[in-house]
Amino acid sequence: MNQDTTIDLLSMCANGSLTTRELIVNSGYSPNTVIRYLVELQIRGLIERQVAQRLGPGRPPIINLITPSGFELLRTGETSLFRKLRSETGALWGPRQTFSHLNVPFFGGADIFVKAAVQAKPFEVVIEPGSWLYEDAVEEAEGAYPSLEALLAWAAKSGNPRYLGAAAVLLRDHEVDVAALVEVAGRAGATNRIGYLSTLAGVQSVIRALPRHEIAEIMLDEPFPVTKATERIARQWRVLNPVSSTIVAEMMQLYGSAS
Amino acid sequence: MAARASPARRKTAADLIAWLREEVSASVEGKTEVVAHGGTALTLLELKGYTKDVDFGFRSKEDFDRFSRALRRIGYRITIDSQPPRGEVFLRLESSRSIIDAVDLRFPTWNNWHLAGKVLQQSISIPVGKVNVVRPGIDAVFLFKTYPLRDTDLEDLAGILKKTAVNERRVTSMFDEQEQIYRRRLMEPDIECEPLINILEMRVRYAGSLALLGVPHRRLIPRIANHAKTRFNELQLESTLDEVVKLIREEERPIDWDVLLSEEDSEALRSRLAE
Repeated sequence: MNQDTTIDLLSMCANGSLTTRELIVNSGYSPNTVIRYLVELQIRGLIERQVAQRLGPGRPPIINLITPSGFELLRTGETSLFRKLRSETGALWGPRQTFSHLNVPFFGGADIFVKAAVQAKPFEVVIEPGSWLYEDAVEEAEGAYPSLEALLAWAAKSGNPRYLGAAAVLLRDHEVDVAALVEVAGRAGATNRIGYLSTLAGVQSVIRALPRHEIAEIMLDEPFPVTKATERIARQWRVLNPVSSTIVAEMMQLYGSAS
Repeated sequence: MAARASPARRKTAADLIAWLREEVSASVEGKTEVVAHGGTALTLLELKGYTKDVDFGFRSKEDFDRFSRALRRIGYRITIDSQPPRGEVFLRLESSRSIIDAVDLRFPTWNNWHLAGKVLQQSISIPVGKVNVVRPGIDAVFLFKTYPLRDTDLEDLAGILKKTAVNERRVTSMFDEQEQIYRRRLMEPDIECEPLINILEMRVRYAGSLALLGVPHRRLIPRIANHAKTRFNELQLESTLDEVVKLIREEERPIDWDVLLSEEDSEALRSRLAE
């Protein structure tokens, strides 16, 4: 069996509860390949195949679930693939992986940051060409992560409301190096957005240290209505399409102990 | 970034299944059905990354009680216990000792949606020890995500459209079927909750989500976008959709429909919808 295909299918079995048909559609492999691999993975004790029940009409589907041994093999495979990508492309663990490492855990598959498009199945690839993200990377046993400050700057410009909320939570972390954050936010072009999130999170040290840039920054793709108070903060920081303060409050409630 | 004393790790659907099998199943008093909602349903469908809380709805009060009792037995404590005006019970239970540290439970509906009819037809039930996990199909999850009007749910709707095809006919008929459940009760006397408000909320939020999604996404689902707009226009409210959506997103409490709809208009609408 091909190692990459094995890891890819194991990753899908770990990150979902998918029927064989769904695995075929989602993976893009031929039905013959998927079925052959699933049989082999089951024989090796890496997945278990569970008969589910359809609540509507139709045949009962088989769900493919990863076993603890399969999970162990997946983790080893992911780490080894990450190391290869790190040495070849300078990749870092991606936002989901890094936020989780910083005690703001997310559900979902493993992801990586890279400077340019790369084939990296089973990882979700997040492209960030800016060198500011990759400098001062933190090396850990399982691989390298962006620095906390670089992650915050990236999240502020991600356009993803969950990462924006998570960044607001981590801005309160006592380990944030304010000078480094100001510098990296400036290089990332995210100063105003960091300022806006810091205001919602009530982080005075960051608010005081940040300059306000004249050029407006766009936070979300679409302009969603926000409260008047939020509108005022966004105006102060020249942030267009701001994430709502409700999302930040919800994330604080959920992950408050992270910082 | 200094190394953390005990760094957390990314969670997976496999963690959720293992938690149900190894922690919950041993404590639950009998076969119990849970219905995956929101991000949890999308996690099981392998559609994206979500926050740490797990969302379950229930079709029966017995299952709801059994499941919440089992969680308390294994050390979870209730951190939110509320019953919003529409009659939906919401419990949040948390345990810092478990990998699944926050669990949201709702009964009998999930944001007004019923776990019935066409929603169940597309669902599958996965046995995990004594717990049967119902995983709704993507069309139901898409429809359910049109309710909250939060940035994250709008992002999820866009994410679903980016990653997979939604069956428009199924989504629109599911919406009509869900609404029918409330329409049938419009003329019933002495009922606990006002079904007209449920219908108003469903229609406004459905249309509002589609409007906020933006043109590029609406173009991918023209039938749903049109259906949502029509359902809103049929209400013949004096306020525009933008105004009502702004109000919903601005207010942290449920909106006061008496302000938006006079008693006379309200009764006229009731008669029209009950026909």
